[in-house]
Amino acid sequence: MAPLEPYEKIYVNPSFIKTGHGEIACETCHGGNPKDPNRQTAHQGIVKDPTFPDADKACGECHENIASTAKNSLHYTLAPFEKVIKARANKDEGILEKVCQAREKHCNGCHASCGQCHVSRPDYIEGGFLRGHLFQKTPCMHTTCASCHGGRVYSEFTGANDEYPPDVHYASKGMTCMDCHTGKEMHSDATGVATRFDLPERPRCDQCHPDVVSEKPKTDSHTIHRDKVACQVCHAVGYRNCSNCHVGTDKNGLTYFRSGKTEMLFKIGINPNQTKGRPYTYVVLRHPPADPGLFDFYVKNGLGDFDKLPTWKLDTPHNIQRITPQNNACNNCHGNAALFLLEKDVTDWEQKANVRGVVPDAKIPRPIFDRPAIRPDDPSKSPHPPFPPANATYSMQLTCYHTWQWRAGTKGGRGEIFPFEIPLNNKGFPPIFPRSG
Amino acid sequence: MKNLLKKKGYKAGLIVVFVIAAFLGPAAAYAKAEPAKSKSECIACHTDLNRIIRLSSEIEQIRPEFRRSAEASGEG
Ligand code: HEC
Ligand code: HEC
Ligand code: HEC
Ligand code: HEC
Ligand code: HEC
Ligand code: HEC
Ligand code: HEC
Ligand code: HEC
Repeated sequence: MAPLEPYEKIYVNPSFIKTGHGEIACETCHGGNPKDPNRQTAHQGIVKDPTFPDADKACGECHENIASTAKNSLHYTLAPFEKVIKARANKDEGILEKVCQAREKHCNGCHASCGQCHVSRPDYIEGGFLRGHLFQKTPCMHTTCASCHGGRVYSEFTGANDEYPPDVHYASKGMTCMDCHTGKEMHSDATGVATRFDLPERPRCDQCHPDVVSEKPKTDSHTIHRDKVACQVCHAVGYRNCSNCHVGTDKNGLTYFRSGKTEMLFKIGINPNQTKGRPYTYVVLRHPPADPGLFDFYVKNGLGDFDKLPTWKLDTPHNIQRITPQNNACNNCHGNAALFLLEKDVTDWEQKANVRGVVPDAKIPRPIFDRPAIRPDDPSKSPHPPFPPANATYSMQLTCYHTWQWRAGTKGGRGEIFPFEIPLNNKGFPPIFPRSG
Repeated sequence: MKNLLKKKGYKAGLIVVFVIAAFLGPAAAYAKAEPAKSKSECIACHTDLNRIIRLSSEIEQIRPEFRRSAEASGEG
């Protein structure tokens, strides 16, 4: 995403002044001196983001409930980051302190405040107004959510990972993050929640697909594997796995990270943490850029207890398909050891950390002999064509701010519509063809 | 004597009043012509596109926290 022009970051659209929020004096939220015509002195004591770390003062008077819960949301506190790093850290007091300082330096910039979702683009992509300071009810998926979740979730969802199709919810229904992740979830109080997978307000597949968990689902597989195999094990496809991450500070005092290779993999593992909300024995596991040397720049052996937590972690890839390579036939999965996280997939130094996730031979489901493939392996029969047909006609429209959408329909044909929402490239225009490298 | 002082004070007072009026006058007129909000220098400047564009180069320097390290590599 190209950064905005400098002026776009501070130019307040005059129409903002006429909105409810614009009628409040600037200084009520930002401080500063509105009577002072001198730019420098007028800005003394200015608060850039009046909604972080606490939005009570700026928003709480009118949005009391949201302000009081959101300050304890994961987007505000990033509490699990701290927990995970502390669990892995060397417990020597001097070293632990250095690790905590490094974590604060590198991780705290990722928080999202009310302003970062509803008013500005995230600072992570150099900020700037979403729309001339106008408060946006629905954050824009392509700018707001994609800025921070772009590397993994958003790429999976929109099909930006070569060879891998976009999520069915996006490709066929044009759904956005907010269709499943509601304001209620985004604003919810996460006090005491261990990880982002344990938030009570998180979406569940069966909320919208009640047939799958009903008495008599129309698909057999849903009856057979209920509560044993997570939905994504059958319905998701390959996703990014990372390795070797190191962070540091350069000679200008700017922070940086360096990560190793990324690999597209699909690995079924044993659920490391079975709960009532996630009773499955089998889940999808991913290798995040976890590395014992993460903080070496700041302190040696900082993550002395690195093995305390697994390095293959629960994942819920956002590239759901009805038919996938592994569920197309029972035996694409049953008896197919390559799909499962085996001891040999885990590097020597990570073995100890991953004993719970690795699938022992005896736990690889045995082949089944009397079931034909659900669909022949023929892409033309695929229910979710990743490309518009060759004879498609296109039209473009502006969707959310700075973003275009392609609509492709066949000329004189059945009039099928394939919506593609794609962010502008750095020349300010959508790429000519959505998924051509 | 007392009278003189009073007179002097009177004169000084007049000058003071005149000086204040000189400043207040145009401001009061301005306030009448425009709604109260326009007195905010924040609004006057931030909604003036030409002025904001002219300040562009300075803005980048005011927001140094957004510079990215050249040493970063790999995917996050
Ligand atoms: C109801 C509170 C509120 C009012 C009133 C308000 N703002 Fe803001 N302003 C915000 C929030 C929230 C942000 C987003 C901050 C963020 O995400 O970093 C913001 C961002 C900004 C920014 C961008 C800051 C940056 O460096 O990115 C500018 C400039 C700004 N406001 C100017 C104004 C001006 C001028 C007025 C009066 C016309 C005004 N604001 C009124 C809440 C307010
Ligand atoms: C003086 C009361 C007041 C304050 C303070 C206030 N809001 Fe609002 N806000 C409202 C009202 C009333 C609405 C709904 C009516 C409308 O504007 O359409 C609203 C709506 C919204 C919406 C939905 C936008 C829409 O168009 O429906 C968002 C997002 C929002 N506010 C965020 C904030 C944030 C963030 C802050 C703090 C920086 C804030 N508000 C401060 C009164 C307020
Ligand atoms: C400024 C960066 C940033 C922005 C913007 C952002 N996120 Fe996040 N989000 C994060 C981080 C970091 C976490 C991880 C929190 C954790 O694991 O502790 C997270 C966690 C989540 C989670 C899981 C936890 C929860 O609270 O539900 C969801 C879902 C999510 N984000 C969706 C979204 C959506 C949808 C948007 C756009 C409206 C968005 N995020 C915008 C950084 C961001
Ligand atoms: C069709 C519904 C749906 C849509 C659309 C959707 N999600 Fe999710 N999302 C889920 C479900 C279900 C989970 C898993 C919740 C669980 O089981 O813990 C999840 C989990 C997450 C998580 C936490 C786990 C992780 O992988 O870090 C994040 C972050 C997240 N989603 C972000 C997004 C973003 C960003 C978008 C838009 C680009 C999006 N989601 C679109 C349903 C959806
Ligand atoms: C991670 C992104 C995110 C953050 C942070 C966030 N919101 Fe929201 N907010 C959303 C989403 C998503 C919606 C739902 C939009 C929709 O339904 O169209 C929403 C909806 C709203 C609405 C309108 C709907 C309603 O429930 O009344 C208001 C008002 C609002 N937010 C205020 C706030 C305030 C105040 C804060 C900070 C205390 C905040 N938001 C922080 C993402 C966020
Ligand atoms: C907010 C509601 C919502 C959530 C949550 C949701 N879905 Fe969906 N899903 C839909 C809708 C709507 C469709 C389109 C239905 C259609 O085309 O008939 C759909 C379609 C699908 C399809 C394709 C069905 C077909 O007939 O081609 C699959 C598979 C699917 N979803 C699986 C999942 C999985 C797995 C999850 C959890 C990760 C999930 N869904 C979460 C609403 C949802
Ligand atoms: C063991 C593999 C497997 C698991 C686990 C699984 N599914 Fe399916 N699912 C399938 C197959 C295979 C189909 C396609 C059936 C067809 O097209 O005939 C399917 C079809 C669907 C459909 C299309 C409509 C229908 O009901 O047939 C939806 C929606 C769906 N699955 C959602 C889910 C959800 C939600 C979960 C988790 C609760 C889940 N699936 C778990 C294999 C699985
Ligand atoms: C993507 C993987 C996957 C697919 C596709 C799949 N299964 Fe399974 N299946 C499993 C796993 C894993 C188990 C072990 C569950 C457990 O017992 O905890 C299992 C268990 C079973 C069992 C229970 C007995 C046993 O062997 O452990 C039956 C029966 C079964 N599957 C039948 C089927 C049939 C029939 C199909 C095709 C319609 C199918 N499965 C497709 C993964 C899959």
